[in-house]
Amino acid sequence: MDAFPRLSRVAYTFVMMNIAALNGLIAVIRGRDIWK
Amino acid sequence: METVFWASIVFVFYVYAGYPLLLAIWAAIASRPVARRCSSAEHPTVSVVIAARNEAHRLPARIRNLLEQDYPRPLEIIVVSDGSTDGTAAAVAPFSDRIRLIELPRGGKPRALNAGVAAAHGDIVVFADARQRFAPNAIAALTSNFDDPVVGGVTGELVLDCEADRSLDDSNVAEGVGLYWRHEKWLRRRESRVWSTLGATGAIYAIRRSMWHPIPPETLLDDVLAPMRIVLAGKRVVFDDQARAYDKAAASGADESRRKTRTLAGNYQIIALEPRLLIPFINPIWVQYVSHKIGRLIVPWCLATALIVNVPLAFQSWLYRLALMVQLCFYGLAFVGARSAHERTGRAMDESRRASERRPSSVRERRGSL
Repeated sequence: MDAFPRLSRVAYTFVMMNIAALNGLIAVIRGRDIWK
Repeated sequence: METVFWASIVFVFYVYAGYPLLLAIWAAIASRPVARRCSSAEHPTVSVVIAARNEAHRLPARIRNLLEQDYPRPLEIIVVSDGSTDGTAAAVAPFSDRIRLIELPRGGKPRALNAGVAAAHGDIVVFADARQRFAPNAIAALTSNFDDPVVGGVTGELVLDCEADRSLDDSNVAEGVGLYWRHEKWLRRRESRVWSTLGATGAIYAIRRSMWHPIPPETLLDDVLAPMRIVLAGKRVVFDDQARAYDKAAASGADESRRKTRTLAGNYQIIALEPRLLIPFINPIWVQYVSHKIGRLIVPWCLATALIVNVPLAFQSWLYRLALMVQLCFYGLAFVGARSAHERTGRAMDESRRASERRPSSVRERRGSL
């Protein structure tokens, strides 16, 4: 019954991580300071 | 256009399914076990380096955790304060007979690590962060691998609370992150069996001090650059899941997104800092590096390309209409997941605020002054 919400959160994480890869490239190009 | 579409799809599947399958087979038929130390062998001297900025509230527990390690020789613990302004020196003062504090002006984590390793005397240097905790046998497990002369570095296993406690899976992004992290560790285990992992976990890794070369101050991922230099020098960096550190998953999608942005920016930066990684004859784990690390950087472009190119193709045949529907359903699912994560984060923050308001005002004031 709760498979759909779980699947949606996993899909969200996958998309979010791929967007983070694009943001990461932009951050490196712009030389933005990223501290842990 | 069809070729571009299918090439993008095939690449995404290769990175997330084909490469893991290839690695599973590779590890099954060509595993190279590490010659670990037997219990009677002499243990090496160990220095633990913690680079910290404004971690006064976490350092005492962290130091106690290290002092309680089940290791037969005394540990040299070096805390490097990177321009802390929160009373770090006072917080670690009770441990002054057991640790060394190096105070630096703010210059970033790489400079702090360089200073920490330069001050270290142990044969093995263990890197740790202020936030996580080690299992009691973590350092003994890490160092047991260094009896094998081919091993230059060892990474431990970081266990997130969302993996250990399934009840947390409903919180925010913990489920997705937990699944991703389990997949990542699965890959690391097998990469380690084949030859070497593609980096380490910053929260728990160890290297031979003789193999450390100071890292550039702008480095984002010290835990990838230092181990990959060891690999380029012809040694192995292995994964040992008996050496465990514990941490919490990010509280919200925004936190996790920031963390991932930094990691992935670091992966781009590593290519600029160590271009030798891209040369097959120099990088002994070139196939793994390109499939795992470079692949993760290319996948978002492939996903975008597959979606854009699919739109005009959808007018040509039912197969592409179906493919477009599948893609749109997937992104719709992700959108629902994003809304659900944001609502949960908002509810958690509301509950936290209400709890704070219910607390007597004197307690709130006292906490505020701490």
